[in-house]
Amino acid sequence: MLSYALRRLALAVPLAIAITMLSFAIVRWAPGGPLASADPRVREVDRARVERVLGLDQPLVSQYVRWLRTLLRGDLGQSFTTGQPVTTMIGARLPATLELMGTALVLSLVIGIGLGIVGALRPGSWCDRGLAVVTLAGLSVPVFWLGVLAILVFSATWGWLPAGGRATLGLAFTWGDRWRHLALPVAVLTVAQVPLWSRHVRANLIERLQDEHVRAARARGISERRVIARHGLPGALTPLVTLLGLQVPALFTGAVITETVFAWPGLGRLFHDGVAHFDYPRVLGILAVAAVLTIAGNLAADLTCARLDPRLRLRAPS
Amino acid sequence: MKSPRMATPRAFGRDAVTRVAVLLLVAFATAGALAPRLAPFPRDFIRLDQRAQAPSTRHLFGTDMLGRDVMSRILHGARVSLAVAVCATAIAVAIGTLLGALAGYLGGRVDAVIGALVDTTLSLPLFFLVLLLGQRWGANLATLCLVIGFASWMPVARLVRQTARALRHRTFVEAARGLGFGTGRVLARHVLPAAAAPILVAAALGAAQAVMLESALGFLGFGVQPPTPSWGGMLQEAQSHLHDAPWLAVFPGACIFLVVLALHALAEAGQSALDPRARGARIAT
Amino acid sequence: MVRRRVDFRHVGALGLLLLLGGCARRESPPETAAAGPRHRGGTLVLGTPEEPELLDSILMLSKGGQLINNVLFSRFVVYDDSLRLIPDLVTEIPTLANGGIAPDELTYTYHLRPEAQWHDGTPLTSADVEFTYRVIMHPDAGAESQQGWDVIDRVDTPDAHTIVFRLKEAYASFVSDTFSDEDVLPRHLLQDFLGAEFRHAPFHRAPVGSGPFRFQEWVAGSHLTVTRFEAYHGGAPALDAITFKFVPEASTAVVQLQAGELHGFDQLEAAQMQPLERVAGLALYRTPSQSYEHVDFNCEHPFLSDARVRRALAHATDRVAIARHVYDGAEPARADQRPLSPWYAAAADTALRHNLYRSRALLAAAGWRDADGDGIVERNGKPLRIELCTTAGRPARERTIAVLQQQWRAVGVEVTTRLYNPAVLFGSPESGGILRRGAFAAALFGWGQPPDPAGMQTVYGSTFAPPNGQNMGRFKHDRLDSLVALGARVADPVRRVPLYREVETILLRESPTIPLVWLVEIDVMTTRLHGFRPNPQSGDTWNAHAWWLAPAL
Repeated sequence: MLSYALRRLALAVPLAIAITMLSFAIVRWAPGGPLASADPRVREVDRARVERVLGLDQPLVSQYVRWLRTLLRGDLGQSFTTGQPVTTMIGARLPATLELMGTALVLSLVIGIGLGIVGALRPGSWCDRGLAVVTLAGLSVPVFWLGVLAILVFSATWGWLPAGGRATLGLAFTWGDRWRHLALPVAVLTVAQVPLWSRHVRANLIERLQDEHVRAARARGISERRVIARHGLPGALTPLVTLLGLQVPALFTGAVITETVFAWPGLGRLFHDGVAHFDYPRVLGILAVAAVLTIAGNLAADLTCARLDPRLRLRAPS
Repeated sequence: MKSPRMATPRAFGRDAVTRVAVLLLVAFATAGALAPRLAPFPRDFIRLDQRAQAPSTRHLFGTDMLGRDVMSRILHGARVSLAVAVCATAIAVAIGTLLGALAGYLGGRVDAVIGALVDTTLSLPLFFLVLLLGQRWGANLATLCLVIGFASWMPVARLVRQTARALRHRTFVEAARGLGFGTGRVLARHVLPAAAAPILVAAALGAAQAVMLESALGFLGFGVQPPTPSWGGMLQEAQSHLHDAPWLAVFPGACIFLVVLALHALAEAGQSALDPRARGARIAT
Repeated sequence: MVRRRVDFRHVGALGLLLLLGGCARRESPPETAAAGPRHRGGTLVLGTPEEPELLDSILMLSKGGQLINNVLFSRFVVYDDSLRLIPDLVTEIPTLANGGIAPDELTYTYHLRPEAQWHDGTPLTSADVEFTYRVIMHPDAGAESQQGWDVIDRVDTPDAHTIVFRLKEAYASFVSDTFSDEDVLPRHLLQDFLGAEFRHAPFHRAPVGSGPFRFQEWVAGSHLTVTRFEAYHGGAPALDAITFKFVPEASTAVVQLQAGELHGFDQLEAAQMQPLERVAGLALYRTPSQSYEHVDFNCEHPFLSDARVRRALAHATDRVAIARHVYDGAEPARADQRPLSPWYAAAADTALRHNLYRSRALLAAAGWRDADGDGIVERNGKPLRIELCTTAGRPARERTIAVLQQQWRAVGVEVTTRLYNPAVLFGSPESGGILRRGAFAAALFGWGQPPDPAGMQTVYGSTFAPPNGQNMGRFKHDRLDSLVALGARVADPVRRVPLYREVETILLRESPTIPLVWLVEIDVMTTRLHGFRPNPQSGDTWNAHAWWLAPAL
């Protein structure tokens, strides 16, 4: 186990650097630039001057090396458009993003696993089918529409909840106010994510419940509830860990559309604005952090899976 | 002990829901294929004096902001959207299954390399990649399917990998290896069918996201060029007209929903066919 | 009909536009609530879709911040809502008559208002102006544009409130350009940042300005608040504070407006007007802006190099239909200059109307006929097929090219359409920029039209094809070259107006572009706010010091 973890970790660092190089190349080779989106009437001579000031006239390799060096020191560079350090910009939006994405993830996991279990216990029944339709509806309606409809119904028509924003302007901080603002965006994200968990849990659990050792446990007379809890669920939930590892970077990068519809001050919009303005330091900085989180997330998922399922620790057949 | 592969396919299609799902998909596919004949109006027929008409007997689904018949555009849009959903998902599933199976079964260096590939692909900036590829390969439908497929294979790969890893020491797999079967055959006949469940679920879920991704990439000038309609594109156009023309969003959205539902029902049916235990029958002990 | 008066008192002034009788092309402003006595106090919550990156204007790479910039900073001159130039920081606009402009048209003298001061109490002096000039011209500071500044030879400050600019060469739009877009910056707070460090100064996100409101707080992604500056040189504003709320999605903004969480919203979309029309206490404003949509032809394209083909396509275009149906009643553009401009020729009114017969006749004269009856005209066996492209992601433009495709098909021209990402369409030639490389036949996009027409030279002058200018269509016309070159140097409006009228006539005859529609800016504001006069040129907050909020009932 330990050697496996160490082996993976040793790979992680060169991998991260390779990813940054690839991302840098793609971002800089793609057409466009910070001045492409500026007023088309800007003169060529002004354009050239600003490019020189921003360091964009250097050869790509030296730009990359310079960026990598500052990155390894923990400095993500300074934005082209705001002049601020990228770390400051990210730090300012991080709490709001984690608040939104974290709550949505936890809620969608809880509800998703719950619904998956219910569906697995009565496969093929009306209850199961109904759940399938409802959860899949949430998946196939695009997030934008879910959000706008949620605002129209709960805010405009019924007036229960505020329409967007993180807190009421001018009001001192209260938990109640915060929860009311969090409710709709979290609900929208949850509706979109629940089917991902519930369908996998259901399928896995159904399969697990037909395993030999489950049948053996039933044969021994163990109660159904214990059978599910101790023999069915762990095996059914392990694959979820795999998928969870893939979700870690999303926690950080946020959900652009939800943040746009609900005017939520998150990292998704920060990244999206950076992309729209071709603010390379910001984009590359966020990509670098996301890459590290991706590698870390997948590594953690693998290690957790190996811990949960001892069979995974065995070496490959020669 | 039976190997899962040996389940009979006759179980497929018995279920009413499955039959409805198949019919629905066939209907959409046919409608898309025959769209020029079936559509009551030409898809590009602009009538500026008829714009934003609510559904009526003349225009069953209403007209859009240029007076074009929405139903005709949905029929033509079926071609693009279904093609993208199927092709992109197929590419994603193919790549993901292959790489995931190899990574899980062979382990070691192969696993490490493929794991690195997964992490790399996850971290790449999709927007810039799309811009770059659009410039180099052309911003057409084929490139679009490739891009979406290449962007979506990772969850499938990780799920298959995990199944393969769990299975590589199972008795029946070792028995197959003992019999001298090569890696490919062991994978294809023994490992993959057991991984069918998660693959199919991921594929069905991925199809809906492929349609959405198609319309999102349309915003970047990628994919279908106007005036070719697509369901996702129609949804994008309808975004600012929720108040004055809600039918512009309802009909394309409903089509996407029905297709996703049907695909999912098919995924479940396929899963049952491949692995009789998944039908959920409680076997008396 | 539109009456035009040339105000001869301002003969020497440049860029001054005329008061049009009746404001015939604009709707009269909606009724505000019964005006009682001017009430002091209240906080206005104003929504805007785009959040600025920086709060001062020298570096701004994006234009999102004009609204906030107006209330924090002061400039020399401002365009009011009738496109008249009015003084802000200066006591009067320099003209030949008042001696502000020397007879050789190379020396400009400005007098600052002595009562102007910064939000921290420091007086605003000519040293600040001279410092800002040095920042703009510094090679490493990264100012967005030095256009109009690099003609300055020397800046003198004979006393604390007088500045004298000496130019290297005559520059017709100097008064309308100088410190009308750029803010005056405080020297005492930024003098350590002159140079490469200027971009990273924290000042840009927590500025000290000289405008009617001072900066209070900025919660990134959420809102920004400014409060009343009592010592403002134009008189203390009535409002206690203004909060700018960033709401990127129009539907969300509508709900917040209905709920009263927002008092007003800047740049609403046309589709959002309908749900707001029924809300009591809100007034909608539609104001023609300085932006217009147009189709540019690549005059070097084999089919389009013939002016008759381009004119034929212009006659085949039904601008009125496009304006009414695609742009919801925006004003159809019939010439390159906006109707409020005095450079706009009356003759341009009647030319190039939608006329299919003239269109087909012109095509025939150019040798294009439909020989095989398939509905497409051919010449020497080749069909007239061109590609019309525009930016992706803007539904109005996509609809416009669909309509144009149908309209041009009616005269036998087959059009294929193509959408490009804006970065690809407008990008530099090295990165594959479509327009700058000339890799297009016809392109639909928009310009912002500055009030002074001197800029026409870089758009239509033959030596100003990219990379030297914005003549994307590679248009070449010798007479027009000399006219626009002269117009950019001559200050006297009496001499300039006929020049640009002739330019307009040439442009109609040659049709390198087809102007389509003037875009309309839609704003919504509570009826409790008095003094609100939307101004797309300068930003709606241009007169925020004069606003006051009637108390809620």
